[in-house]
Amino acid sequence: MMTILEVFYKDIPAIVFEPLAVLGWCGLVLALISFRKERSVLYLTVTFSLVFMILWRMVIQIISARYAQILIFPMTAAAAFFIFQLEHLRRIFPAVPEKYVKCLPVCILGILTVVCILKNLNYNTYTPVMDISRLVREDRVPGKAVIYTMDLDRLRQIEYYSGKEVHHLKPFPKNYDRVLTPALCRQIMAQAAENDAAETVYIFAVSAGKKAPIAAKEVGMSDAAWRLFAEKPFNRKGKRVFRVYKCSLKNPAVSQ
Amino acid sequence: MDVVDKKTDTGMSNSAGMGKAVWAALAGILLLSCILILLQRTMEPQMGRDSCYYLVLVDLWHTGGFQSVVDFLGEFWFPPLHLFLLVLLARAGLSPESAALVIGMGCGMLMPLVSFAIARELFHDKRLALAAALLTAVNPSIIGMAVQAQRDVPYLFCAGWCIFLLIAAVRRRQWFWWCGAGGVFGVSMLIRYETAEFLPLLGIYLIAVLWKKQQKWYSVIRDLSLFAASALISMILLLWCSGTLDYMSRAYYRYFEGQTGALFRLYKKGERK
Repeated sequence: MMTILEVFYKDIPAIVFEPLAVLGWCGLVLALISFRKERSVLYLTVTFSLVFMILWRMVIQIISARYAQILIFPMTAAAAFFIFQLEHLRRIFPAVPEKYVKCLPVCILGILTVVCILKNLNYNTYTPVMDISRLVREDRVPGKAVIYTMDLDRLRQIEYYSGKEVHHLKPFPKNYDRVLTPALCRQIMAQAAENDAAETVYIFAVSAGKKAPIAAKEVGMSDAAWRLFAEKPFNRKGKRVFRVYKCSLKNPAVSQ
Repeated sequence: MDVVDKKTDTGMSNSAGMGKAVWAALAGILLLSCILILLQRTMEPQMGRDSCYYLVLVDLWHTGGFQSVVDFLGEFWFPPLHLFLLVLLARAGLSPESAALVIGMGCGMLMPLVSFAIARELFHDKRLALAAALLTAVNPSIIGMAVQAQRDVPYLFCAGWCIFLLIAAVRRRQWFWWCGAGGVFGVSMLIRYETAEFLPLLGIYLIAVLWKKQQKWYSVIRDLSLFAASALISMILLLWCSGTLDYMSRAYYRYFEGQTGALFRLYKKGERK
């Protein structure tokens, strides 16, 4: 039941944008009340169509808010309707001075526009995947090079921007990126040498910014064979970093 | 009927015509939309997970033809129009990413027009329609999706025009609105199958008409037939142009055969019980 309701109060507002969605819901209710006497074919069609469009999404419990994107149009129109209906606020609250009521819609529209623009500007970018993958693409290495990552979400992006073969490390835990250990690195390299006949392996990992990168000694390799290839902050907060380790499997490992 | 003094009309009153002020305001909103989408692109030049997948498909289609996409996917179920448009632009010399941006950002920039048209048709109020256009121009979801190589924004653009044409058809009861709605429905359907949700809405319209008895039943059937015919024609034409008509018709046939087969088996099972 909660999931069904979540579509209503979480998914639809997420795609419409929450402040707009609140005004949109208010506008829809107000429009239903305002036009209730009309009862034309258009009124009935639009009303029941909207109910249907919202209900089927709730019933099948859409997996992504993007599947509710078509509701942006009716919700935006309803929000605009609600904003301009505020001009008639004096019918309910006669004490409110008329000059305030007159400029209320424009003020709300202005505030809403500014909020939307600020939301656009406050974008939490995730460009390091592209930048780092491009560095890997430009890195000329002899023989076959493969990339290993546990991050299934970013796998396709890494593949697209690096132009190299990317492997997903399925057997490892999902939070692998945060617990990338020297032992795991050795395991990856063994797998790459055996299954892929690769000469170079890149390991993509998201780590805590405070955590020191894994050193060559820890994985039992020479400094020439193992190095931190690239590192970039994962997002603006900088608490997490995106790291790529480069490992040359042709170079001999140092004795432990 | 609104009475408007032509000498003093700035165009912002709620009359049926479009004054200069409205056009200017609409142009300003479109400009704002362009600026915000371009700004978004500079802030986020990276393609998302699904976008990268589409770009790989476009590259495959462009270099090896449609069959290589089918081979890559095993079975092709995507509505092919968006991919085909990207391939067309790629054939014209653009990279798949640039092609996706041209379509996505172009549709995103023009999205306020759709909102304006819908709100104006629905409420017959120019101020309200302009407000809806403005709110669409600054909508963070649309701006975010416009800079990705996904079907979302082109679908939203076509489905939005389909909504406008359907509202106009219901309100004005003229045959050409139904033809237009059907044609755009076909285009939208080949971008995302979600457009099929408009079909039950036509059922709702049919029930509303029969209930209110505002129209003769045969005129409603004629309108809906025009809609269906236009939709089918546009879909068949577009599939034919993209060179996927043969494959897609077989795929759809297999799907419906599977569905009816399942229903038949279910019926037989019930009969045995």
